[in-house]
Amino acid sequence: MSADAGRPVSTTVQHEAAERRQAARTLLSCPVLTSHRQPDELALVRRHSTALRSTFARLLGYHLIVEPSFARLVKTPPSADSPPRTVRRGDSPPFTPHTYALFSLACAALLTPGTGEWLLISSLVEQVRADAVTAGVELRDTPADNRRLVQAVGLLIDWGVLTETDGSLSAWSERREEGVLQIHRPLLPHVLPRPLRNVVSLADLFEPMPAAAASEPRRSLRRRLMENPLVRREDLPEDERDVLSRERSELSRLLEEHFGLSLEVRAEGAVAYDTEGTLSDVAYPGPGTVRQAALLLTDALTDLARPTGDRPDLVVSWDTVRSELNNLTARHARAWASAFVTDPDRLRKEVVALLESMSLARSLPEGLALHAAAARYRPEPHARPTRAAQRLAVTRRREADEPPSDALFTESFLGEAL
Amino acid sequence: MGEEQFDGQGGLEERDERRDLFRYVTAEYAIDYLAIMDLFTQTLLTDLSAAEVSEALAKRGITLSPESAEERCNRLVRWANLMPAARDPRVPTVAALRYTRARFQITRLGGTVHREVTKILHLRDGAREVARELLGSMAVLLTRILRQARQPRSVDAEVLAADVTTVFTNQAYFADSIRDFYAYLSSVLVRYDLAGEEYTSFKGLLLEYVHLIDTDVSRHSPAVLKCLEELQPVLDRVLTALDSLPGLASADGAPVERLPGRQAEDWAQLLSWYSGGDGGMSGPAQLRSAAESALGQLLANARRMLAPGGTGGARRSELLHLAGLFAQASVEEAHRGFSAAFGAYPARHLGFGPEEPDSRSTASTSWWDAAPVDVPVSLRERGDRTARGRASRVPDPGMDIARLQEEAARELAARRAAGAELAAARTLSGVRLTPAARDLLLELVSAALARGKSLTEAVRAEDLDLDVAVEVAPSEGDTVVRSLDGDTTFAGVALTASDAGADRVGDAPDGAQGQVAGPGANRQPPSAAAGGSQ
Repeated sequence: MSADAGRPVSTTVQHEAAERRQAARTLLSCPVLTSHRQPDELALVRRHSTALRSTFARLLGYHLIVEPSFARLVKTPPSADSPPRTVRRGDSPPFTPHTYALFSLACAALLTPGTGEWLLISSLVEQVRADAVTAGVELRDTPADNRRLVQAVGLLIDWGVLTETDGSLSAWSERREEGVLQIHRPLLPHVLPRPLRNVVSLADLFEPMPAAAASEPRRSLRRRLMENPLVRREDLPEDERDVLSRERSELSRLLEEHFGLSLEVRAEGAVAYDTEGTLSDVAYPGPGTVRQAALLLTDALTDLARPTGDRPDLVVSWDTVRSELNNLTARHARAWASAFVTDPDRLRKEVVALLESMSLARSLPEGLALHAAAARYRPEPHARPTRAAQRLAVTRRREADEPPSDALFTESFLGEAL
Repeated sequence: MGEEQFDGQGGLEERDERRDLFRYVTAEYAIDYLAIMDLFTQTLLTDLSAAEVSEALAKRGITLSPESAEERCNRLVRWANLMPAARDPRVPTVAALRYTRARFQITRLGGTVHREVTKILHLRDGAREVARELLGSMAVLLTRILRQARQPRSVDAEVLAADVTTVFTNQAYFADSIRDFYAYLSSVLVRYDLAGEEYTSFKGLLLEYVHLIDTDVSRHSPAVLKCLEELQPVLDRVLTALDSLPGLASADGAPVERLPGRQAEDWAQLLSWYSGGDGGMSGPAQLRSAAESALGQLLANARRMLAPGGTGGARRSELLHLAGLFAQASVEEAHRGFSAAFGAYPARHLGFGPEEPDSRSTASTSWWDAAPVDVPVSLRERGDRTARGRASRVPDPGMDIARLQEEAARELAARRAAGAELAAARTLSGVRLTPAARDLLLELVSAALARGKSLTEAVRAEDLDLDVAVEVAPSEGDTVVRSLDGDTTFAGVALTASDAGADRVGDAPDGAQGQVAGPGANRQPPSAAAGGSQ
């Protein structure tokens, strides 16, 4: 298991625990698993289903359904301070409200009485069009609307609710070639896991489910830490702040033991960080122009000033942000994607969106409010030597003492250090 | 029950015509036709003219001119739902004649069809109760019939007739209601969208009801069956008594549809419903198996919907409602709403951090003061994590290969030479060999000895590559091989070398008995080769 590459796994008990941790992490990052799409992950989850079910229920108040052909972790609504989770398939544009509506319609279409296990793509689309009229959703036969429809059905395929048994969705969207979709009947009732009887507006949904009612500060704090990149201290209710200060070591142990996350509590808030870098839909810091630009921008901004007064945020005017980004662009013009080099506004928007999605910054009318957690990544002028550098230094020292017998050895360290 | 049967070609044609009876339900102006048929079936023996029809419809809010009313009625006549009323046209004027001719009345079949159609059109699309109480009364009635049949003198034919008719009507009603109920049940059981409360109420209702029917049927049906079986021998008396009552007979002898229970077949049918008669499943048995399968299906559904924690609430109407909400939402609201409604969002975490927490920073340290985390330099400088730089030089193995090949060739040549030397030596007693040839000899001898478990006869080992073979035979004397670096003594064996191809050339010298083949040919104790001395 890669999550435990660093840990020595010597006993069966440790091995089991490592497997459980891996299964829990898989479910947290991908709450719907099917035997068709993720056979190995599902096998792992099923092997530890009893332990996982009780872990999720006890620690997070999540309901876990494990059946022979699928596993579904039902998460409670994300807390209000969490960044919105934009659904996005591959490189395609993120889901719009209209796409979400079409997704709901597609689910409803699969539940039409008389629908068997297989159905034609065209009949699904027809049903969606018919239901769109009933539900008051506008769906015209334009390329844009059709693209969104394909995205919505594609998400159902990603989740494993639908499987392309003959033909494919892309062939249908491009050339109207007919295809057959198989419906994962046992999973279908669990796609929408909560009743919506009394929901009048979307805002009603943000309330936690009655089962996971308040007065569970431990659970709700753990949920915040488990799901969100950053928990700001000022966003925490009194009771949760209390738990954070009193039961920090226990909390830290639970997160580490069950999910392989490390807890870092600071004056401004708390972060459960992932040293593996696998338990996140957005990898930050990470590769790519936008992420590099975001990292360098926070470097530059944290260099400029520190927050004044008792504000935890460092507010930087938009002009400064722009000029810093321009400097960075000029310096990296050759390496960065040309689309961003030629369009500084787009780069700025995406960088800000990325920082916002990681809760590291907030857009204010007067400027960008950078959270103190961004200082985590500030570069050190007099940096402690990195581990590789330390090892290199040790080798050098040894080299001075001993005859240069291990030239190859040193070379490999050099390679690592570079 | 028991419509008269058609037979032959004429029957088929008549049946085709009868299908016309149903046309008015779906034809154009079906509303008009249905309203007209309603008028005609309202009372008995109605006959109406087109003008009267038009008037009566106007009262119901349907405007139809007398001309169109007549056209509709004529059409219905063609389909045999209506027929022109046959009246004695004793009328003096043309107008009056036309008026009387254009009167209509309903046909018998037309009336039956319309009653059924009305029933179906007004039927509620839901469960129908099963008239299970009828079973108990059937048993009582049949006992009474049986008592009368056993006392033929005092038969009260009127009472008997009433009982018989009631029995058969009850049976027909009971069977119908059962059939309807199970049809409804199967339509409920295949629904996937039932969940939550709706499902629970269904479950309670159906489980209880199915159970109730099942117990009622198993309680009463044996009694009914017993009565029916006891009735069989005395059935003739019942039929005779019933026949004595005044009945309906047509003058031309055409068959009249008789009341149920007046013929022996009716009774046989009734009996076979309960007993399962000719190989088929009896009614009660069918009911029981249907109940069993319904219960099984209910359980399966319950497991599917309720077992995993009472979810299963993926509801079509709720999803449609949700779609409407999404369509009107703002972008951020929609993102949050989707995460909240479906609960399938991925976790998100910041990357990088120390493996072990830094002891210098505590919960009250600001992030601004705590030690920053290590981020790979490549992410800052290049925005990727792939290894860069010149790969280390791969050594050119050409020279090594050449050297190794040369070495191998030299070694092979040396072994060949040793093999040739050994092969040329033939009888190896006291010969002088080079150390290489002696080593080869040792190799071959040990291979030969390893092959034979005990040395009772000559054993041969050969190396085809080197073209040399050595034959090891038991001997009384030792074989000594001299070499530059010392003598080697092979104790108790005689050794003969030869070309590998040569077929056991070289006789065993020194009185060795190695050539003698065959089991037990010699009793020579096995001798192990003594190690050489160097």
